[in-house]
Order: sequence, then C-alpha cells, then structure tokens
Amino acid sequence: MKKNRLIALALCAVLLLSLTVSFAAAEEDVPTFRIIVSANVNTDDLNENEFLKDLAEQAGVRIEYECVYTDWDTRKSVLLTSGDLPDAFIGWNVLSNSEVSYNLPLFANLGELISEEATPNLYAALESDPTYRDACSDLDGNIYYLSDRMPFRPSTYASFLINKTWLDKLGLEVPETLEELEEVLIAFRDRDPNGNGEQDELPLYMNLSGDEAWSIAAFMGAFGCSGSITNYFALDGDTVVYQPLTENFKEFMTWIAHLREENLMPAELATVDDSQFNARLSNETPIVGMTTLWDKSPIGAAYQDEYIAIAPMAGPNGDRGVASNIAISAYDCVPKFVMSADCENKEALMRFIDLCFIPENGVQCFYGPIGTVLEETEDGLIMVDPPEGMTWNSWKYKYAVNGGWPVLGDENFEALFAEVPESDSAKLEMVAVNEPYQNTNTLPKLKFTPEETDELSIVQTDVDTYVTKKMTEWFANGGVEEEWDTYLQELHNMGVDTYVSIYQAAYDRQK
Amino acid sequence: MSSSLRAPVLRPRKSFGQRLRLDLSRHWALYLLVAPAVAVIAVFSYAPMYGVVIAFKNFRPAFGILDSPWVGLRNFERFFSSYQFTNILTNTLGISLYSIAACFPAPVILALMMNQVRNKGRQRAIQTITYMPHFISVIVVSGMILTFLNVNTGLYGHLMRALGVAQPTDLLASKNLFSTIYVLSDVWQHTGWDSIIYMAALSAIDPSLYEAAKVDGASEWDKILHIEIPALVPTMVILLILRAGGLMNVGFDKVFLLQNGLNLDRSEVISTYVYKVGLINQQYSFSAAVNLFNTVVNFAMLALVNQIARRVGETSLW
Amino acid sequence: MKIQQSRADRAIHALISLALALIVLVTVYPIYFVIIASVSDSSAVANGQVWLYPRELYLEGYKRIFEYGDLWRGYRNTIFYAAGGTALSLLVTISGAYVMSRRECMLNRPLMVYFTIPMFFSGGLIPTYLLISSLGLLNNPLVLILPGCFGIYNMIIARTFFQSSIPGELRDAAFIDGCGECGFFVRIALPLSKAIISVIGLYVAVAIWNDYFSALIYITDREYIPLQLVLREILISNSFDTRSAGGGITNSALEQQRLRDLVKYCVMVVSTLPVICIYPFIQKYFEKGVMIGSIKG
Repeated sequence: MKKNRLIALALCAVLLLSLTVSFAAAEEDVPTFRIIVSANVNTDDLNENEFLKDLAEQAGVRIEYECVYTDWDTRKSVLLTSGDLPDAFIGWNVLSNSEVSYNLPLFANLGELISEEATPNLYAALESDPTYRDACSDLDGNIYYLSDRMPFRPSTYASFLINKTWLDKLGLEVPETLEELEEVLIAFRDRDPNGNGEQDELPLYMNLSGDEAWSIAAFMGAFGCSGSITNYFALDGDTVVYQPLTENFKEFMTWIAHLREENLMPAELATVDDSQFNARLSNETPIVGMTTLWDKSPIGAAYQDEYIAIAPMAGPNGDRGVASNIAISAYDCVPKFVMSADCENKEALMRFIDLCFIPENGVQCFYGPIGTVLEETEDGLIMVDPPEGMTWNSWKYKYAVNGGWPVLGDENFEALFAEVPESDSAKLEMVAVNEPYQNTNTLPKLKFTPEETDELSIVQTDVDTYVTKKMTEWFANGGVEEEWDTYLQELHNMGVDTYVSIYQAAYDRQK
Repeated sequence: MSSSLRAPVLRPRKSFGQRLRLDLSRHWALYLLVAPAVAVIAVFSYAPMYGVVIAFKNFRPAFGILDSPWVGLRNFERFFSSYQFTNILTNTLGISLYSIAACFPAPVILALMMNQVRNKGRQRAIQTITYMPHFISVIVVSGMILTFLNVNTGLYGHLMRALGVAQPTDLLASKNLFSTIYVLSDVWQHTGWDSIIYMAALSAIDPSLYEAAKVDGASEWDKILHIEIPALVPTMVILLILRAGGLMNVGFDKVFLLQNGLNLDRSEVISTYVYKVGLINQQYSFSAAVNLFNTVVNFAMLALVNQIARRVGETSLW
Repeated sequence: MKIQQSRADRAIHALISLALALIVLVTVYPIYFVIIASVSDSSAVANGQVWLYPRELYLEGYKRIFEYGDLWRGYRNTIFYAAGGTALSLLVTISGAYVMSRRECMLNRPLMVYFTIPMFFSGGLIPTYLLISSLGLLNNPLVLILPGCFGIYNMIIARTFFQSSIPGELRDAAFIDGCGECGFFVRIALPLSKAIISVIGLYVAVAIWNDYFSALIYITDREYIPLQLVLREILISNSFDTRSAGGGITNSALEQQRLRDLVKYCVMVVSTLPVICIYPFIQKYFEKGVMIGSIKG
C-alpha cells in the first residue's frame, strides 16, 4: 500500500511537472518540508488531502505529513531530545507553552518571518485581532508559535439540563431560584415522575469536580462565586481570587452537602467513573432529573427531547450568574504551529502557513475540504451530514486537524457559512439561555514563566487534589462548618498563598 | 553445593590474576555461553545509564542530557519537602507490604493444591482457567471492579440486598478498604499465572522421593509438608527477594483508576502523585529524581532480604 | 495409591477439590463477564443489567475492530515478533542462566551483581532512545526483540531451577564420562529442563505479545506495527479528543464513551484469545520422572 501511495505521489508529481511547463525549472527544487502532526485518530492521512496539496502547490512547496495518533506526550519528549526534529509541528496540544519557552533554541522566531510583504494574510490577522496576537505571543513578546482562534464558540460553558416532561407531569415550573430548585428535586425524588412505580429517580446527577460545563461548579454562580472555568480561580476587579478559600464557597459546599443529605443527589456520585455516569444518563427509562452536560448526546436517544436547557438559578443572596469564557473558549493560547530552528527555507514554509489565514482556506483547514465535509450552496457553506454510523464529532476530524490548525476563526471566517455547522450549533443553542447572566470579568488563559511552572507543579497538584478531596468528603459526609477552619489551615500549610500569588503575577503581566 | 567435589583442596595460595586465568581456562565454555547476555546488557542497559544524571539536573530537551544545568539535589528536596510526601510514602509502603503478604503465598498454595489433582486433563483445565485473568488489561479489571462493587447496580449490591442488607456499605467509598480491594483483585488476577513457575518446580521433584514416602506410609499431608514444600523453597526465596526489590513499585493504572475523592487519603501513591505533578508540566527531572529514590530503596531492600536469605538458608541471589 | 488412601487423605482431597472448584468459579465468572460484555450494550453493562447473559447481541465493537485496516497486519507482525523474540531470548537467557547456576566460576558473583543492577537502575527513556537511534535500530523490527532479549528476571528464575533440579552428581558423572561443558549443557541439562524452558518461553512470548511501548517509540513505519499498538489506536480513537476542540472541552468523550467501553471488552477478547490457548501445550512439558531416568541411565 505504501508503495502504491509512493507511486501515486510520484505520478502526481510527474503529471504536475509536465503540466506546468513554464515553471519546470523551478519545480526541480521544490522545497520539501516534513511536518509532524499530532492528529485525531479519526483523521485520514493528510498526505492524501487534495486541498492541502493544492495549498502547498500555491505556496510553491511540498509537505510530507507524519501523523501521530496515540501517546503524543511520549513521542514528543523523545522527539525533542533526539535532535531529530521535523521542520514543523502542527496539531492540538502539539507542544505546551512552557515546552516552547523552555526550549527556545530549538524553535524559529516566527516574528522575524512575519511581515506585510512576506505573509500578508497572517500579518493582517495579527493586526486585526490583538487578542489573537497575544494568544500567539510568548512572555517576552516574541512569536515562537501560532495559536488559533476557534469559530462558533459558546460564550459560556455551563448548561443546566432539566427533564421538562417530568416538570410538566408534576405540574411544576422551571425553577428560577435554588429554593425552587430544591422543591422540584424533592418532587422528582418522591413523586415517581418516570412512572415506573420505583423510587429509582436521581433528582440531581452531576459530577463533583471539574469546571462549569461538567460539574456542580455550575452552581457556584448562585453563591457569588461565578468565574470558575480555570481551577476555581476568579477575578474580583483586578484581584485574583481562589474561590475555595472564600465564605461563598463554604456556603456553596454546605448547600451541596445538604442536597446529598436530603438524598436529592445520590451517594454514588462520589465514586462513579465516566462509564457509569453516562450509563445513568442513558438508562432504559429516564432516571436523571437534572444534570449539566456539554450537549445532550450522552442522554438516551429515546428521551433526549425531554430535557431542556435552563438558565442559571438565583442563590440565597440573589446572586445569579455563570462565567463568561469567550476569552478562553475561542483563544486557548496554546501552540498549534511551531517551526524548528533548523528548518531550511523558513520563508517558504511561512508562505504556506500564510495561505491558511485566508478565510476561504481556513475553513477547509479547520473543517475539511469543500466537497468532503463542507459543501458550497448559494447562501454559503454548509456542513454535510456525516456518513452512517459516524458522529458529528468524528466527522469534523476526518479530513482536518480540527482545533489544531493555525487559523483565525473570526467574523469573516464565520460569515462564509450559511448556517452554524451542526457540530457546533447544539452547544450554542443550549447556552443561549445563559446570555443575560454572564459574568464577563473572568480570568483569561494565563501564561507562566518556566520558574513559575516549576513551582506551580507541586503546589497546584497538592492544593487541587486536597480541594477535590474535601469537596467529595463534604458531599458524602457533611461537616463543612466543623472542618472549615482546619481546611483553610491545611491549604495555607501546603502553600495556597504561593499558588494564588503566581496566578496574580501572571494576570498582572497579561491584563 | 556440589562444586566442592571438583574444587582443589590443598594448594598453595595463588594471586588473583593467576586464579582468574586458571578459572577462565577451566570454564571458558561457560563464559562463552554467558557472553551474549553480558553483551546485550552492556549495550542496552549500561550504555544509556548515564541518563540517571537527569535527576540532578534541570533537564530541558533543547540542551540535551549533558548540557542541561545542574541543580544538585533540588529535585529530591522538592519531593521530600512536598506536603504529600509522608502520606504517599506511607500509602505506597502499606499497599506494597500488604500486597506481598497476600500475593506471595497464594500461588504456592494454589500450585500445591493443583498438584494434588491426579487427573492430568482436569489439572490442565484448572490451570488454564486460573491463569486467564492475568491477560485481562488493568483498565478492564478496574472497570469491572467499579461495576461489580457498585452499591446500587453492581453484583455486590444485588447480593447484599438478596441477603437482606437493605443499605449495604459502599466498599468503594471506604478509604480503609481501598488497599484490600487493590490487593485482592491482584491476587485474583495473578495467582494462577504466578503458580506456573511453582508447577514447573513441582514437576521436577524426583519421583523416587514419593515412592520412598509411600513405603514409609506417609499421608498426603506429610508429602506436601516434607517433599513438595521443600522443593518449592528455593524458588519461593528467590521470588521473595525479587519482590522485596519491587517494594516501592505500586502499579500506577489500577490505583489511579480506582481513586476517588473519598479514598484519596489512602490511595495516593508515589506513582500517581508524580503523574499528577507531571500533568501540569512535563517534569522530566522531578520524575527522574523520584524514580532514583525508589530505585535506591528497592535496591537496598533487595540487598537486605538477600542478605537475610543467605544467613538463614542457602538460597540467595548472589 | 488410591486404594490405600487414608481417611485424612480423603479429607484433604475433598477439601482441595472444593477449594479448587470455588477458585475456578471465581475466576471463570469475570472472564465470562468480559465475553458477554463484549457483545452487550455498554450502557446496560455499566448500569449493572448484564450479569448472566448478553442483553441483546450487539456486535458493533467487533465490527469496529475488524474494520480497522491494520488489524491483520498487526496480528501477523506480532506472531513473527513473538516467535522470533522467544527463540532468541530463550537462547540467550537459558544459557546465561545455566552459567549463573554454576557457582564454582570465579566470576559468578560479580556477574550476578552486574546483571542485577540493570533490574533497578536504568537510564530512562531518553538516553535509551538516543542509543537505539545511534545504533540505527529506529524503525527496524529488530528493536522489538533485541534490547529485551536477555530477561534478567527470567534468568534468575531459570538459574534457581537449574540449581535445585540438576544435581551436581549428574554433572560430575557426565564429566567423568568425558562429556564437556557444552555437551553436558546441550545434551543433558537442557532436556532435563523442558519445564522451565517452556515456562520462560511462555513469559517471554506473552511479554512480547503484550508490548506496545517499544513499537510506539521506535517504530513509525506502519508496515511493522504490532497488534497491541493497533488495538491501542482503536481504543484511543474513541477517547483521544476529550479536551481537544478548544477552551478545552467537547462532548465527544461522552458521546463516544459507549463505543469505547464496548471496544475495550472486544479488544480484550481479540488480543488475548490466542495467548490463552498456548498454556495446555506448555504444560505438556511438566512431566515427572525425567530426572530419575537420566540419573540411572
């Protein structure tokens, strides 16, 4: 097969050569680059992607992709050390920020290669979107990698889903406050809303740890804690607040423990794994009353429509909000493209990358070539339905390194579409209810110096683990009030202050 | 043991060089046989060993192993002074010792029992069945533990309720039971496999011993006690020494997959902790330092147990 | 023998039979569970609705695995690696073990220490990678069998067997008969050690069979990819993108969890069935009574 592919490639090359007679002389030494891609397993061999071939040809280069599908972290560390670097890396999570800044001699300073003449499209992208420029800049202000801006991102993550059929059946309204919510949950618990005669309902079924999209953290907004996308950090003005240290958090955990005590949340939440968690959501008969999810897909297909997204509820002091995370959602500030310092003819490779910043090309880099995943209609592009047996999520990776290619998914990019691509629309529809309650003063994605990262690695592990542990224990056994002071003391002992001050310093640098 | 027969008894003491030359010329064939092994180890194990210096450096891939800056014992200090150190060390040792206590004798007992099965076909069948679990991947085993022990939907929950316990205790939520769950599932998974080596040793027992025992009118129990167990002792001692050399190694995957907020106090072990620290940033040097620490402890334990074994019995590694 | 069984013996036998029956039951059930789980809806499995029989025959997982192009190539490669690797390893390990069982060699103890140290101290992944790379073994199937071909652990086990099962008298007798070291090893010691050779062979074969890591690091050409790496790709294909699409979250982990859980069980069945079947062939070599014959004759 490999041989066939090579022959096919060779044939193509010969064909091209004969067709473009006028460029025949130049074709002789087309600069060739090796790019290692950390790819999704669903992604087909990029070497066979006609669109990318065309793009390379336009730039006058040839690119050989080597896709790595599994265990990227291990492969990466030997690649970096062996000195056998490819010309460039592309992909999601291809290298971390600190891996780049730790190893600067290995990588090309892209800033020196970007100019209005050499890379007009990339240059324009960086000029038009300062946030994007920041996302690509290292702490010293230089550009050693290109990140991306993702299109069609939700501005909040949290999505409360409640079983509307149960509400209607029991004659209840959508809860607006936590108090009302509790009444609803009690009714779910006692009045057999799924009508099977058994008390098998799990009124509130949510993960105990994780960020707002997934877990009970979505309720933190009701206690004035909103803003917890990143490890429970939030902003109060310009001050970084580690919420697990606050009275608000204490109140929040007391409430959660109370729900558990009343059997409104099942004890098993403390010990379930993902498989079991999802299995409850897709039980034969619906048993979950309310949950929070990224989208509805884990819910049993037969009764998915019974669940509706609802707005965040108001807490005891009238707080009502969710963290806006547009900053993190669209710009994750992570390297998506890094060029090796040893790459010969860096300018030529940049010509290729520059082409990806033309929106018409960007969409095809991001979703897949027109004619495969995308289709052109009169009103613009649409995303074709995935073939039988394939999910939207696998589909969008089939011909593209979705979320791992340097592109700018701005308004011009989004405007090419006739409608929001199906793979993104479900989430956007769900979070629309959050709109009025967004708290926009939230932490951006922070960048740390190598020294800070070193220091963080232990402190953050200790503190995060301890907080998660205490949250689970309080959930299972209560005791927030009694243990609160020792808990704070423990956190201080393990260095929570260092943790917070590193975050504060990083924020001050970046704001 | 038997070598004394050939060893020269009375000879003037020779210098080391002379003795070595004599030894080499006498045993050249043996040294030839071991040469490939020596070579393979030299190339693939000793040659890369300079890599341990990573533990004393702040390793950055761009600079390579030799040119990364030295930091002395800083990586070790970070580990020893970390808030969790005492806890994870205690947990690691506790689980490990428990594991040795349970997993070491089990295969011996199983092998002895299987050896009593006289029907060859049945014996083979039993053995094939008991060694199967060894091949189940840790991920699947952990998933099965969680599924089986779930207090609401698992086999355990159903069983307890059938026995009339309305509110069975949640085994997975109990931090005190964590090590038991960990160790017993290990026993279940590996006893059959580990007994293979003992079965092989039992098959090497000289049948004349059994015949002599029969003549003496020994009972089955006597045979087990006086023929079979002594035959297994050398293998047992060696395996025990090797196990002692793995004291600090508690398998990562199963512990990690069985961890939850309620058992964390007892289930955080060195390997899971290092993994979590490394998640925040690839900590090459830190994990190298921790590994080196583990290794030194392991090696010391092995040497210690080996020494004890030498004193007490006649079997030892060296 | 049976006729003379005393009451105590019978009691012991009964007890042992009972215990073994129990052990077999406890072992068989989880295996059976894996098999029925591999053909059941994985939600039902996680919800505790599958215990005695599959709820409905659901072959999606197997379909997924067998559709994967590289599966058969992986199988073929792994069989080659396991066969070649086992042969090579037995050659090096058993002869090494035999030598190490001969304590009269002056260098025996130093060599033993020499072999033991690498069991503990290793240079780690990175220097090993650099070494393999400089030896030109990258992307060479040899890398999967050569570096690990001398198993120290296995050597120690085999050495113990030689020490306790090959009597010194036998060797002395053979030497008096004019048999050389090599002759004794090949013609007398080896035939007496079928049991341990087969056990070590099994250990090595299973280790190679299950190894995916060396291939992951050193092999990039898909022509040489072993089975376990293929299976790992299938497994991971359903979990890779947990946090991939920016900001860090998508739903795909959840969405595909069901398939992943299912595939997990199927992969088990597909990958281990062949190895599990080896054992009865190995046990054939656990014969008693070889030794006595050889000493007398």
